[in-house]
Amino acid sequence: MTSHSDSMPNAPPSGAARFVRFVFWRIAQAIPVLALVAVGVFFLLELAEGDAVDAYLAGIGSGDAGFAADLRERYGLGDGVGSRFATYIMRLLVLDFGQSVAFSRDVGSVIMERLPNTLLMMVSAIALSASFGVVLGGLAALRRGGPLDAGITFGALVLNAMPGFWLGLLGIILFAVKLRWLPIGGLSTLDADYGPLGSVLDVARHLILPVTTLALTYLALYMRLMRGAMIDVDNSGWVLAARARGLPARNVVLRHIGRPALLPVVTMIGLQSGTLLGGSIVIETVFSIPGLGALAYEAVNQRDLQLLAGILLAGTLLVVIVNIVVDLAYGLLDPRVRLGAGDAQ
Amino acid sequence: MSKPVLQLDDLMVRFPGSPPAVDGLSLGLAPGEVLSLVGESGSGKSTTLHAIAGLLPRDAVATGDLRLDGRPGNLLATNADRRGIAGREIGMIFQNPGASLNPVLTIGSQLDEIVTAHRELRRDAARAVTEELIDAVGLPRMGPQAKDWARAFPHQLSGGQKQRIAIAAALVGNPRILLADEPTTALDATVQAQILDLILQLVDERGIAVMFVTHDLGVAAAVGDRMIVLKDGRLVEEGAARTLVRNPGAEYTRELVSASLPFTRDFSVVRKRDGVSVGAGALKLSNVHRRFAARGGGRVQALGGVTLTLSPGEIVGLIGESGSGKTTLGRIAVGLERADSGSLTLDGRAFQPAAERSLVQMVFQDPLACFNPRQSIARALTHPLRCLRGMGGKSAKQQISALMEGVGLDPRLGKRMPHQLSGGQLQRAAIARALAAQPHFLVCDEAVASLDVSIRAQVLDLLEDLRKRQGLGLLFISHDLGVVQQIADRTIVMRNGIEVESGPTASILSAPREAYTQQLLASVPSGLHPWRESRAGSVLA
Repeated sequence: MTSHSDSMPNAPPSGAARFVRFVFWRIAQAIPVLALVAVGVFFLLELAEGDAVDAYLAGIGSGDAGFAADLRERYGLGDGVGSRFATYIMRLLVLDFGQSVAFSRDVGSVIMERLPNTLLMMVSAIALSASFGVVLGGLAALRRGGPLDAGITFGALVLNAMPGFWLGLLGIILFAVKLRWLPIGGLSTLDADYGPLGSVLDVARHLILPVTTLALTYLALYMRLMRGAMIDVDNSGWVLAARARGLPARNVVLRHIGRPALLPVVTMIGLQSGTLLGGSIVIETVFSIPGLGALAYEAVNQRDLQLLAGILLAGTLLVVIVNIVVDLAYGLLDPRVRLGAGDAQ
Repeated sequence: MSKPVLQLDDLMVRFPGSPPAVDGLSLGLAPGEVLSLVGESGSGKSTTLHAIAGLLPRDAVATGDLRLDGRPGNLLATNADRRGIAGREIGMIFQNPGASLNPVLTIGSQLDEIVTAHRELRRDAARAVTEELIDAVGLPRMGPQAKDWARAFPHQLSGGQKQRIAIAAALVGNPRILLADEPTTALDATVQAQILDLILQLVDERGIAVMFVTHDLGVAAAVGDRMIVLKDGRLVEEGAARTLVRNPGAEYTRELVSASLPFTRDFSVVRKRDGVSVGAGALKLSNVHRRFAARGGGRVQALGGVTLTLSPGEIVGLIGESGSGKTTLGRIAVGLERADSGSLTLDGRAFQPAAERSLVQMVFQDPLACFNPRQSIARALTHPLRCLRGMGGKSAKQQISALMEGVGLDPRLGKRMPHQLSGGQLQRAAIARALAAQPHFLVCDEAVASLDVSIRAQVLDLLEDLRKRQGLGLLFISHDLGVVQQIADRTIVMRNGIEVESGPTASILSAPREAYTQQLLASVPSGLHPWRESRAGSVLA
């Protein structure tokens, strides 16, 4: 069908309309992803031996068959797979995440209690590693082949090779045990009242070690990425042209090499947002931080379907949101991928 | 000659592990003069410009004596003071206008930056200068084509518009010298003509001296006052540009001139073809339409109803500028692209190229890009033999040797990897690979555009020879009128997805009926007349 109308290009929509359309479509795209995760969680847990009642009885040591059947009745675990799946999905549809068996509390409130801790830790760690990675990688690229480049590259390699928990333990031994500068673990000092400002500083003090540890393990990635991107961009025509036009070296490096080289770094931040939840289990355990990673681990151990589903759905939502933000940031950094062109097709 | 604005003596440039890229070159540049530097790839012409501009890579070693009028010291000396040279004394423009602009910044912001650097203005005051410059390079702010150029990003501009912006960027610091490194090579003929006009206008109005590097002898001779011919980093010949083309002194210059096929309407210089017999069984594309999704929604029409007949033993030239649909048409004939509507027939029957790959084969523009870099040439040649003819083992090996000999390649080269062959050898191998399927028709999409002139002549001879020996029908897609004049029996001129006119090559190129064809012909510098004179009488002026 070649009607007359499709030979006319569409009138370009206004910026605001395009923005709304873009965000709307991205959220619409997230719905099937969320559905897939919800179904996947249910059947994965179904595949595992035992249910929440078995886990509970194993936890308290014993229990007769009557007690178990009673508990199953109360938690609605006695029905067949089909009817339990139907109940599970129906509840999710009305955004009811249900009760956590392990915590005997509303799933939503358990997650909301832990989410800020994990977010605070992960966002600071990624921000720290990305910004230091960009600076160090940039320096290495500008002095490539020299001793500074060798030092930075070697240091990043060493950090990359060290497991995060080991680095964390070393940090604890040095700064918390020997020097006693920083707390060993936890997120705040118990039974202490420092007032509003004091509490913030207290939390910050507790976060120094875990955030630094995490940031150091991610640093190599960002540093190598930035170094490679800078070298690529340095070989591009517009950098040669900028030098030929007599621009000051500072402009050439910051505007014409550095800025385009940020693009892969931003992409990586988006990809890493997927680890906002999972990547921190080890560090949360080492530093006894009550975060989502530790919570997910407990949920699996306790066969707590409702809680696990809640955590994973929250995580998926988080990843979707971060990726929308990254795509928007990408459009700001690189006009060629500005919203439109295929995004909303 | 008046006192040179630039004097270069005994320039030597070495890259580690190779023979000198430039070997003892001396030249002078007078104020307001256009000096053309011509040579084939590897002749050192671009390296010379980079050495003058101080843009050589760090591992290159340059020695010699470079002096600018009114500035003390040798600029090639180690620790030479180059402050205030780049952009203020010497401006430079590059081959690929898209690549010379930062893709993530607006045109205005990039020009503002240069203005602030050279004119000691604050950012907000710089914009006025920027807009003056954009005006000065012929991008109108008033009138029907007006546009806010400063707020556009490079990818929103055409190649010619980007090159104008690059020229504006080079002019910011009012340089006395403009180094132009193949500034029109990537542009279509009519756009090239406009850029050449602009550069010469700057020479006239501002007295800028230009060093114009190009591999295109026609362009070099048309725009240059003087011309220097380079080969392997050495000066072959130097002289007044048109005189050199008409009466080349050195043997190499003579070869270059005869191989350059300067487009001429004098058909006596074109070889007479005899023994051309058009066979039966023609490939016919009728009323072919094709649309593509456009950037930001909407559709663009690539082909709007084109009809083409190609007989065995015939060479049909397809010319047009980028966006004319010539490549899409070629790809549809090979089955790499499908038509939205229209029919393909072969010898009267319906024909699906994708189902009968062996009948129509293709030769692409860049031979290096169309070979797997990790497979030897012989290995690459086995694929069509195995997939399209079911050959393997010894018979395939013998066939490969025969194919390579057929295109004038030593079969022992089959062991080599693609990057170990020269451009000409590799394009021959690509032709051998296309012939391996025993096609009746060959689509050559800009097949000689990336080759140096001397190699180009050899490949054209080979294609001509294949047509004669094997009765191949050739669809020869090119933007180069000189090449089409040389090889095509018939020529089709395309624009915006439709045929403008078609007919025997000689009549199309010597007596075009359509205004567009006339304009296209007038845009090509023949090299025998000064550009400004030939432009004065053209339809565009």
